[in-house]
Amino acid sequence: MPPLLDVRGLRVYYMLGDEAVKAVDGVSLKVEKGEVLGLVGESGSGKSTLGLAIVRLVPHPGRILEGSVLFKGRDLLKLPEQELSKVRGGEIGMVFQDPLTSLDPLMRVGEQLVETIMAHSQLTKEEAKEKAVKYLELVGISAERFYDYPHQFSGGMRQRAMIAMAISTSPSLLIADEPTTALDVIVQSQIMELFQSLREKLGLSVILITHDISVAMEVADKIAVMYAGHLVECAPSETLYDSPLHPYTQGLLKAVPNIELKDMKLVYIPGTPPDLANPPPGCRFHPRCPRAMDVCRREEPPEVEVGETTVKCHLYR
Amino acid sequence: MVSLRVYILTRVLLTIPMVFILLSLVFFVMRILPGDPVIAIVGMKASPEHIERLRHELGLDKPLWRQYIDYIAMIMRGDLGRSMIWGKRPVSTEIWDRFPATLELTICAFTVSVLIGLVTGVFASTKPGTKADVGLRLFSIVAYSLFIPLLGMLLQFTLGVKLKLLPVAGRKSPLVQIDRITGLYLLDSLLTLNLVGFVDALRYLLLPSITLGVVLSGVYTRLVRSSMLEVLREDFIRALRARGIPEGQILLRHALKNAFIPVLTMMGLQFSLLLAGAILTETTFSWPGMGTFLLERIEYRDYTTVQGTIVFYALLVAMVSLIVDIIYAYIDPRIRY
Amino acid sequence: MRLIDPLARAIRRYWRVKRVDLALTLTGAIIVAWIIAMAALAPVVAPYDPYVSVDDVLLPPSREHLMGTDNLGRDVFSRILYGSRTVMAVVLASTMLSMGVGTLVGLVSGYFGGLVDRVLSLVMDSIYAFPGLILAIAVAAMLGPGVSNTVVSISIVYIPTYFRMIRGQVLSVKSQLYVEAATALGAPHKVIMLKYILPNVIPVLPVVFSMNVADAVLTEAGLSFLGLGVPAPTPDWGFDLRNGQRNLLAGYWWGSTFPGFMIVLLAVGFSLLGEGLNELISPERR
Repeated sequence: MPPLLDVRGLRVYYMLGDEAVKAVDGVSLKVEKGEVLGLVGESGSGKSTLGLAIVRLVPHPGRILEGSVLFKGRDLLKLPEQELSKVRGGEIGMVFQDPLTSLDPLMRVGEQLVETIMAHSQLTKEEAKEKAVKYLELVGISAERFYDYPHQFSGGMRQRAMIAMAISTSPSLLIADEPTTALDVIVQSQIMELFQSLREKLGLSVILITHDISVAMEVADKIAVMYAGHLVECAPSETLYDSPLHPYTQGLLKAVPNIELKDMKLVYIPGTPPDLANPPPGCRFHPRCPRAMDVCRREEPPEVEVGETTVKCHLYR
Repeated sequence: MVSLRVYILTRVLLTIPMVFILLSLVFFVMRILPGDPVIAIVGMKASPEHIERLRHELGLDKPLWRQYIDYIAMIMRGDLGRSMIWGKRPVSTEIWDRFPATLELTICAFTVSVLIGLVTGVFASTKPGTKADVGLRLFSIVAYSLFIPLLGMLLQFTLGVKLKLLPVAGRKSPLVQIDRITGLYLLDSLLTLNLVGFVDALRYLLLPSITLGVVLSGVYTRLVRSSMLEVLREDFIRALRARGIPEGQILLRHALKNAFIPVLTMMGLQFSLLLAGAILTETTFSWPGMGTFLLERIEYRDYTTVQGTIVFYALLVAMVSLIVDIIYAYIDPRIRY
Repeated sequence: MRLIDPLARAIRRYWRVKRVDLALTLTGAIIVAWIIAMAALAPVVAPYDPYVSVDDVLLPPSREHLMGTDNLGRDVFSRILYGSRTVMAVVLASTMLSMGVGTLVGLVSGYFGGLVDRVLSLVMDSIYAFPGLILAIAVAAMLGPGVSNTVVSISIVYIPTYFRMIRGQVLSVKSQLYVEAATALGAPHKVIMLKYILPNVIPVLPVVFSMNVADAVLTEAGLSFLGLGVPAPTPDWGFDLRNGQRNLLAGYWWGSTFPGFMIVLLAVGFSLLGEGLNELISPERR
């Protein structure tokens, strides 16, 4: 059976004057039905751009140069705009980082939910409203808040409302871009629990985009690590945790505070991510890599399969 | 709803110093600036007795602070003074005769300019940086620089004199009767089911409103465009797209509504432009409104009426800015709740 | 080569981003320069005396009278040439006056702050909110006719524009370290204002100037159209436009149209110049 989502060789550049910022540079990725994929990377690694490019929402001056995004067998990059907008918010739901600014401040939350439902169905306004109330309750917002405006909601409630909107059209894939980053810690874990329960109830596939590998570890079946526009490693969560292959992933995992360890010292990866307008030749991680070899400076590493892991590194050729 | 009441009360209270300062400003312009208003009225060559009598009549022989208090007290009573000519009618009565004409003109011109501004501004904002956008930017510059009397005369000459499509001066044909209820001819003729009157009034209103409306539309084009661009960059627009809401709906139902709020907050100042422009429009089209009234009385040196009219303008400006603030509160739920 | 390459690239990029603004600025500058040249050369270029009747009345444009003659038989073209002098002189004098007063009051208000600042700001905001042309009309009516009175009437309208800009600028400069150091060292207010603050707020003046001078052209034309500007028979576009309107309805279009077009041309010229400059100077990209 083909995967639900199959991204192949995707390249997204931001054109700034004479320069091209290579935000996503040849990324391939699969998401199976019912699977939760954690897409992990530092800010500026291209993970958010990748999430937006899947539904062709890359902001100006970004351009999708090549690649394909096969969703249920159709290439979303070749779909006419009108059909694509049915997929967006219909079969693929999205949740963004900042719930404070992701709702129209002048429209009642319930109405925004109704609007979304009606855009993807033939329901009447009354039926859509009924469904909207049902979904609000599903994410833990009582029906009486239907007529509230966004500013009357707390941050956590707004994110719940965004999630309700994203799932109200029964999507098969949910793309969540840092859905908890803007929230405080307690609300964060509540929202993550909500994701878990929804996934079990609705059988959703989820792409969870996050900079925090420990968050991804908690909920994801599979983790993909991005660095400087490249996908450097992709493996099932446990495998990745037990035996990370790419030096960058190893560094990331060392940087996670681990309560089990007696030694609470955090290890950071020295150096900074490269300028994506002029990335270093060869492997983009080599200037920061503790195990860099000569070949790393010259040749871009191929993607190598090692057991269940796919890794883009010269060490495993 | 408590916070809305507090908000409105605050706005009303904040308007009071503004009114006070505007009134003082008018006093300053009328009494202190010219040196001696009586000389300004009767000229240098009048007899000393005549000047003395007039000075006493106008209360100008009292000390300045006393004059100021009398002046403020008079306006507080809702009295704008009495005219110095033609039966010494109260200035407020005379203004009541002429103001509806100006109101009708400004409302129509306002509608024309906002309509043009919305359409062009939204259009430009959807295509930033293109030739169409640059063209509209040029339009907004040129439109604002179009001297109202020139545009008015070109329209008078082409549509009025050459093509004989529309009347070029006045508010209605002399033979058409419109019963006065509000003084707004369009409204009055509708209320009295006077179709002939309505069509006639509309024909007379068309050229002045278009003239004034077009000149001010450039400002709205610019305001709407920049405000729309700002809103279109916001996260919730991207979130709407990600939910598959049709682009037209995003633009009109979400972006425009949000973009309108900053435009609305600027409307108090735009109203000032409208009033100033109305004076030129009224003069060009012999429109019997406040502007032509003010100029007539300046010519007759009707000092008290001129003062009363300027005071009226000041009160009007303050009131409109208050109304704009209140409308804003009703539109923006962040203030309403 | 190392230095020149990035420089060339910067210029190319600047040109690409700001091409439109450069074009606007240049067009505006050409129009304004052309009208200034007209004003300067009026006595040389003008074929007739603008004050006296030189031919039959209301002659249409012809080889002898490029823009025809007006209701008194004066040459419209010559009056337009001389009219540019009136407009330029009045507009420049009044904007200079606004600039001087606005800058001074803004400097004092922003520097001293407190009650003085609050009262001055309220007064300036009130003037700003009042319809400019109506204010100018009231002042002009009270002051009576005369060139200097016209200049004063127009300048009052634009004082708040300079005041607001300068005051804001002073407030941001005031908290800079070198100003605070000078204050701590006990330098007198006058010295601090003139030596440390003024030089840092002056750079905003050209932008404000270029932005409101177009508006001042329209106000001047408006006043003179309404008969409250420079007294007749001085050639003045706004007044000549009004004078020509009387005969427009009878079909004599040239007496009013030409002065009207000149007003619009000058206003557009200044607007383009101001708008372009503002965009070129402002740091953030559109």
